Amino acid sequence: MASGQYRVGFDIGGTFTDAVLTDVKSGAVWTAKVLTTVEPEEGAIASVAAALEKAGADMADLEALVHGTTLVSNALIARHGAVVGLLTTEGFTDVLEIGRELRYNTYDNSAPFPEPLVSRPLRRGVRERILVDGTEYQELDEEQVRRVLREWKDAGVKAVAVAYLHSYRNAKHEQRTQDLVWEVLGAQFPVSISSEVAAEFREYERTSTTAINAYVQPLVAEYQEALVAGLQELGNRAPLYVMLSSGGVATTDVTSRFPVRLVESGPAAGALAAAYYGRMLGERNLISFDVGGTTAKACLIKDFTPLRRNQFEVARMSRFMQHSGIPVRSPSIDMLEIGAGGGSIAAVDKLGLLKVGPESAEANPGPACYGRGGTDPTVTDAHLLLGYLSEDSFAGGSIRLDKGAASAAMGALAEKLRVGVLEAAWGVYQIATENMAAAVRVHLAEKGQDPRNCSLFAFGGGGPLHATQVAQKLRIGKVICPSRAGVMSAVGLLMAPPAFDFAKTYISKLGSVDWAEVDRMYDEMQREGEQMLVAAGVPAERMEFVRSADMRFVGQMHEITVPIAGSDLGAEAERGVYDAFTKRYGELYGGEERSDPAEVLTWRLLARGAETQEAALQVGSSAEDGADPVIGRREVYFGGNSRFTAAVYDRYRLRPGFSAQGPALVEENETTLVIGPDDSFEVDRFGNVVVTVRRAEGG
Amino acid sequence: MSQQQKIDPITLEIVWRRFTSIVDEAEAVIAHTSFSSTVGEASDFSAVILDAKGRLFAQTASSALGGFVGVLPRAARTVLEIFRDRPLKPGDVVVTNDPWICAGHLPDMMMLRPIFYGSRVVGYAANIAHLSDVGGRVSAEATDVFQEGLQIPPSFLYQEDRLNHDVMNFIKRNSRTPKQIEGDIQAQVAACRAAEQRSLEALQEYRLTDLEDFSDAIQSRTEAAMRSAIREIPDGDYKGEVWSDGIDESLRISVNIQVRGDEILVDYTGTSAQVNRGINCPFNLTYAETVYPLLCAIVPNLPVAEGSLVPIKVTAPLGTVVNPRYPAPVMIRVAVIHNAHAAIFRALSGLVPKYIAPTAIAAHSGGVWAFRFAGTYREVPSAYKGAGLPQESEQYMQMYLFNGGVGASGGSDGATAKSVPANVGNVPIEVMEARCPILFERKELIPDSCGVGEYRGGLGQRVVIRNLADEPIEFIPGAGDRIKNKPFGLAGGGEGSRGGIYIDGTPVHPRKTHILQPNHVVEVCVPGGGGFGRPEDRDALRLAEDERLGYVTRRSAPQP
Repeated sequence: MASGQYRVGFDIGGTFTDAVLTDVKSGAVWTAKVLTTVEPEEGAIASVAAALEKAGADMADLEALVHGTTLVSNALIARHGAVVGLLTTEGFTDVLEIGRELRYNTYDNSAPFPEPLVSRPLRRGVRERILVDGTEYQELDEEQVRRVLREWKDAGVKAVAVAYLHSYRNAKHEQRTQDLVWEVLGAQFPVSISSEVAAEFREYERTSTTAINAYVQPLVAEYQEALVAGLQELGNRAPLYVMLSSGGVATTDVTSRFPVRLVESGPAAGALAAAYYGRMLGERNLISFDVGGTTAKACLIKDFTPLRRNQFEVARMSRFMQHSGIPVRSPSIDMLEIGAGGGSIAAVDKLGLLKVGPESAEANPGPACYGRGGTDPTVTDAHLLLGYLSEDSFAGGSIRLDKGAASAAMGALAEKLRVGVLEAAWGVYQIATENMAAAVRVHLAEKGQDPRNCSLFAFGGGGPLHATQVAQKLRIGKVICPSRAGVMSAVGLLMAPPAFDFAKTYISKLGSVDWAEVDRMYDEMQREGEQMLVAAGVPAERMEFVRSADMRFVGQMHEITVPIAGSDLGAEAERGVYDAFTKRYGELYGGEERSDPAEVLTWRLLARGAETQEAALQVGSSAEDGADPVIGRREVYFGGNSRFTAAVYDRYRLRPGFSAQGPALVEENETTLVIGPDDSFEVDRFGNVVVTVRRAEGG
Repeated sequence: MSQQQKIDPITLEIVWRRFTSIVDEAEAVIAHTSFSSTVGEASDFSAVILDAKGRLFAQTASSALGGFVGVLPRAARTVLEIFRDRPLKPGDVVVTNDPWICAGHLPDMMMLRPIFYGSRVVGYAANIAHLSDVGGRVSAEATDVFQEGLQIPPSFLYQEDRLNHDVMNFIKRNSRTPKQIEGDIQAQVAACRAAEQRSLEALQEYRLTDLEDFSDAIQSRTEAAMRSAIREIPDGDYKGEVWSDGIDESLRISVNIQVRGDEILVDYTGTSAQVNRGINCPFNLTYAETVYPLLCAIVPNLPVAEGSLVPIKVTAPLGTVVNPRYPAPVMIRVAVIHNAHAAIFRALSGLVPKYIAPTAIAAHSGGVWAFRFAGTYREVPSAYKGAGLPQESEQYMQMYLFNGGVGASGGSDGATAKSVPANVGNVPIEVMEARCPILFERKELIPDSCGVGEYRGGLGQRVVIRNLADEPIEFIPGAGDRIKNKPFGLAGGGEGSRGGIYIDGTPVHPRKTHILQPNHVVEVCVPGGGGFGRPEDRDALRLAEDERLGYVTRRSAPQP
């Protein structure tokens, strides 16, 4: 272990690479922003070096580095992964292509589906069979495996994936196949076996996850090696961790074995940062709300912990359509993606109604007001026309907005709607906001959470522009706009504990569970977890093992994840497991109390390093002394017949304790916070702006 | 905002959108708590909000089954007519599974709950879902509807939020899975309650006293959009037909689409007479299966409300297989009616590309296939040397669903193994094998099963399944058609392959229950989709790619 006193988190985005450095003893924070480079590791290293320089430290002073990356999801979207050979049980080579057979748009006869990651000639069946209870029904035909592998040697296959039926119950054949791959193709050859990558039932999802793992494995290994080597060259001796989709971090040894766990590495960090702020502010239930150019992202943080899901989709053909992408069976932060952002285009549909998004003007040509040739009216154009944004303070003044262009684009729309330009802009803003609120409302309902018991945590370029209106629609009373919002993701990286999730399917009905078998499974998962945590430098006394189980009533198809007792599982604990299940079921779905038999499908273990008692991050902004925070006044519109004059505040001049009444605008480099005429705000001791939103009647 | 005489298009969008999202929430409740595999894995359900007149106001774009368009509002209006003298009170829930009122067979159960705002009905929350079991025969072998299970005429399941235990007990007593059906019904009731609660919140928030003006505005806009789309199509009679395998004799489905100005009448005269086995389709579902392909062809992606349906009329002579007289058997009604969309696309195919977009219609598809395994599991079969299946000493009746290749459109190849015209997913093999003592030996695409053409059909698939039990089990074919009558192509495209069911390699009757002896094997082949356009016009690169992928091994027509 390195003995330095600094931790650094760095996050590679499409345009910028951000780094946040903290002194773990004092909590002091430095940030750096550099342009993302073609070889991403170069920009990453430059951002770390820049942050170190600001702190007057160097590489040797680092204790740890934590990295968030969109490398894997980008490789899947752009399809530039490795040539993969897939071995399946004979007769099932097409499972990967057939999928679940659902259409994602029943009104479109020609909606395309994603091409399988492994094309048909490279999917080969092997004689072998395990039954549902783990019985070996047919032995593995090792010669057949060797023959296929020898063929692949010359066919340019760069990684092998193996997914046999019921391997989650008995991994013997897959493990033997893995040995054969190394025997025939070399000891270092990348191979992914489904019983290790995603040991859960449902063959399509498991095969898909394993294929993704193999597809990105060579790419991730190469990238991580270059990054580690580059850092070493500059004198780094501290360990490098990478952010997983689940919100934990792992060493590069682990992530090069399981790169599929990195699919949501980038977005996870933002939710973790929100959770950190929640703990800092004592906000138990938060909705993190991040609005960018094309999408809004929301995540429920319940009891200070971001909610997670066990499966999601990547590389969708149609971005917001379920079943149009490739399923990933691995835990991730449960992030809701909504097709509404600053670039969302407004148009009149065939019914003469106003629609906003999901089509987006993206960064190019961008909203009409960018003056880059865009002629469609967008949400950002509405912000400008409503007075929420100004022509000369957007993005810290770096992009001048063209009100004339916005007005022309919105004017054409207003004409079709037969309303004034301002009413049209208000309509666009309202509909974008309603779309965001509606999606969050449904998402929370599915989690059994009442939005009225949450606060809204808004960041990103567009979050603060919509937050108070979204809050009002959801009857949320408080909006928090964090300081240092621009580097939220990198802040999240600093907060993430080393953690890894394990899962194993063993389907059994409560009442006839073989608990000795369950104990064996947990022992095995825990042993592996311990090894990973030791490798990540977690001392034994800080290791935590959290158990949960996917359960349902016998006969149901949809399972829910339920926390179960930490140890001493056994027949006598069954009542507790059942009660935990019915309690969670009631929270989620309400309804009458039930006493039906229940079954457990998948047993889960989260191994993590408990939080360290480090000094709180000093994320607060340091306001300039004495300067008047009001830097101007603008006319703003909030619908109806009245117009308001809002005071414009410079976020960097607001001192803790400051408070004021709406209407108001708080400008900072990345965004503007809109505060309505009935709302008020204050600045807390950390520099966060906290808005009290007038709740709608009946709340 | 205050309620105005004339509602602006912005406010209308906001309110309509909100009610659509309420339906989303209601559907999530059903999806997550249902015990039915067709609901849980195959999404065989739909929810709506109706206005005070029983007109369709809000449904979701994603999950509402295309084939259920208009079923719920029509059913709700029938029920309200029946209850004319006993007006619904707050907290009432009416249940029915009458195939002639509702969705065409007994497992499809409807719940209807009035939404009261103060003392007035402002709308209705309704949903329909395919439940686990309502007794009776689950195959096409019944000779009347009485053999197909419990018939529930519209009845009060709840009165003023109090459960009518007698009704619930009747239903449970007539189900092979009483606990599950109770859970299913509770899921549907909970969805109605959620929809009502959320609707009231929305009315309050927008300060509305009712939905009437909003619904009127939506209905008139959707109707106007539909009429203007129909007006684009030249007046005329467009005829199409398709043959279903029937029971022993093939049955004809004949449509005549009469376009007159801004209205369409679809008439089924010439369609075969009803049969005395359970493949007849009551008219309410025929109506939906007719309107759905018309919407796809004429106004794809137009949001649907009652107004969209007003300019379309559908008629079918009483006593035909698409409008059978009570008490015809109807259990596997999709075997026949899932061909209707193909007849309609065929009738409209001459209008491509001038009046209908080439990608908006498609050749015939392999379709949705289903079968069940039933048996008793007394002890662990000897094949299992470990713990065996999780279910012990239980009767099982497990449904399997999967899908054929999709017909090509006039601008794209048909998708491989996708669900048309319904949208039901497959059940994972690893779930099937955990629920009954069977062994899947194969589930794979069938090369050369796609119809050739400038655009080829999607590939069909086969499953091969062995009985692992030590005793015989029942194999019960369900939905599935096109064994004798292959999926046709359009505009010169070739036919998809035929389907088939074989036991130990010998073809067996596709509508009868068979006994599968221990260690014997059943194979089910689902057809590929038909092609579109002449095969000689196919791009050479695409053809080479088809060969490289092994989709096509011969350049001639598909397998006999």
